[in-house]
Amino acid sequence: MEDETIIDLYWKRSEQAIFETDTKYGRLCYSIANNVLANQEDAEESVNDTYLAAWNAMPPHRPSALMAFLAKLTRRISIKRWRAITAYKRGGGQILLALEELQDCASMEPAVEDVVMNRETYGALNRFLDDLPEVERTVFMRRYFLLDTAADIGTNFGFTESKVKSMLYRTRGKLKCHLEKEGYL
Amino acid sequence: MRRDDVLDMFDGAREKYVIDAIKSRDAKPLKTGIRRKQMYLIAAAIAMALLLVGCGVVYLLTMENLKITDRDGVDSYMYPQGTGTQRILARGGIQGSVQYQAAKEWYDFEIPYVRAHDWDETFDCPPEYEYYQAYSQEMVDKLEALTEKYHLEPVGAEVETQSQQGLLNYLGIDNILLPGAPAENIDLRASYFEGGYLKLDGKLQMEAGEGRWPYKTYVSLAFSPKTVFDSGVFVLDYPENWEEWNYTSASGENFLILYNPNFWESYALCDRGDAMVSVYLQTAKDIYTDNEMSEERMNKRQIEQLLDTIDFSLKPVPGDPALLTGLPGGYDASQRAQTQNGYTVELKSVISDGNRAQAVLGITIPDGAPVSESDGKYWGMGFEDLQLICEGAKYGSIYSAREQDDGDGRDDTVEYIFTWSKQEP
Repeated sequence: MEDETIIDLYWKRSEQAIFETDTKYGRLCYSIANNVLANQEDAEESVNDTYLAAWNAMPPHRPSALMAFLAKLTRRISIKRWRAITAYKRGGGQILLALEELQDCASMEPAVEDVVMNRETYGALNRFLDDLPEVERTVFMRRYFLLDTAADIGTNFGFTESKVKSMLYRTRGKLKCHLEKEGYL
Repeated sequence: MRRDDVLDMFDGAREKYVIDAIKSRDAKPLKTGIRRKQMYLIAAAIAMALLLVGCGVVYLLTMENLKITDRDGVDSYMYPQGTGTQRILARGGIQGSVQYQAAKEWYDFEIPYVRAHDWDETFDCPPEYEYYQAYSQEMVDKLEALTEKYHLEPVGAEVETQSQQGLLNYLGIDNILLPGAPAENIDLRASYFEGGYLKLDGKLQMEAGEGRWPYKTYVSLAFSPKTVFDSGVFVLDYPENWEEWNYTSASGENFLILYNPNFWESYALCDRGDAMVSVYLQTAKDIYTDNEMSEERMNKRQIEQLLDTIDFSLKPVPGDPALLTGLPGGYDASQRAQTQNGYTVELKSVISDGNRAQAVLGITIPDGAPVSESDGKYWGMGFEDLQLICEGAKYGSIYSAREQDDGDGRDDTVEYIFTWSKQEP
């Protein structure tokens, strides 16, 4: 079923929307959730929460790209669940490793809990991504948005794992410079 | 900015970059992949071979004789920068049939119409046209004209039921399997429309055996009588990657199988004469072990083995309508009410068919709290975590929820019907 049709089902408040979403994007949502949570049961619950969030959001929202919309929802919900479960003390999955790596382009300063600030940082990230070569950008997004392993990324691009890691290291360095330049670090 | 903030920052990444990343998961390294031009040549060779086989032989279903169009310039997540082609196949009949012509005419009308006209949620669509998702009188008029022109009935209104088991009993269907087939049909769910169109969704689990697909797999079967106008289509991305072949099952039914080795779904279509029967089959399984994920895909023989278990001669035979309103396998829950955070929740009834459970909850809402389901606020009441234990089985993960008028005329009370899936032990 096409995305527009699925979105129409949400707008019609048809329960079939959830079913069609699961049929088409269940695997994607689950893979993202499982990358974060590394636990089948938690991942399944996150996927269900994603469907509920989508149900609540549509209407009034009408996503231009349902796939990206669901991926973002799943990621956000899964990370929230991961934080609640682990309270940063334990856990597994790719998120801990990704966080350790992202220390390269972060500071020890506390977060700014401000919506406006968040939007600005989104803009800063996109300006950074805009300037990256396509392959480098996609590899970076695979690792830090989808939380895929360097080995899996390498398989798709025909790169060795070490090449992916070195590419990520270089890109993290560029991101740090970019964030410093824009005054976020 | 701490590392968690950097992690969260990715939530704001442009959709295009998210989609590019997702798409790249399916990418094959160039050095081992088949070039696109070669793909076209292979597809052309397959098509030619099928044409030759088809000459002088009795009628066989092919992708070509179901094709409505090849849409070029598709701009979707599957394709970069609007370079894609999608093949649209009719589900209800082959080229030359009235079912095909009606489906093609509707498709040619609907796509530009939907793009040009926003959804009108105020339009009160006649129930017999809801299946087509008509949201304007213009669309309804078009549907009426098509059904009249081609002497077809509309799919009709969906038959309402109080339980899935009641609907299956009403239709005289236990499962989609041939008697004695080495498989189990799990979580069967039906949607039936007054014109005779039937959709069955569920999972199949083959019995263990050498070479058989060992995992549960999702399957959806559509029964489309040739007396009705079925507007359903199959949309194939990357049509050059799809393979097709005709297969005669163990029960003697001949059908067309469509298979994409790089994709996670396959289709099978059977022209039974009185109806078209089509099957959607999920053909890939993600395997998760610790932090690793891998994927297994069905091979062609495994697809055939699964299709061998399906009863393509299946036909719904509506029986006693009283079966739709009964509570087979269920029971009325004792009246219980509980108040929490100002919300009073009363369990009015519970039914279960062994795979799903459905409960009607009566809710009294405190002053000033949201009432409307359309706001989606009932999830905020914490119902998403509700679980149900019914006849010893545990149900969780709300599958669906809908509001219904409880008929007492009060604004602060409402009924919700929740459906849960049975949880694996």
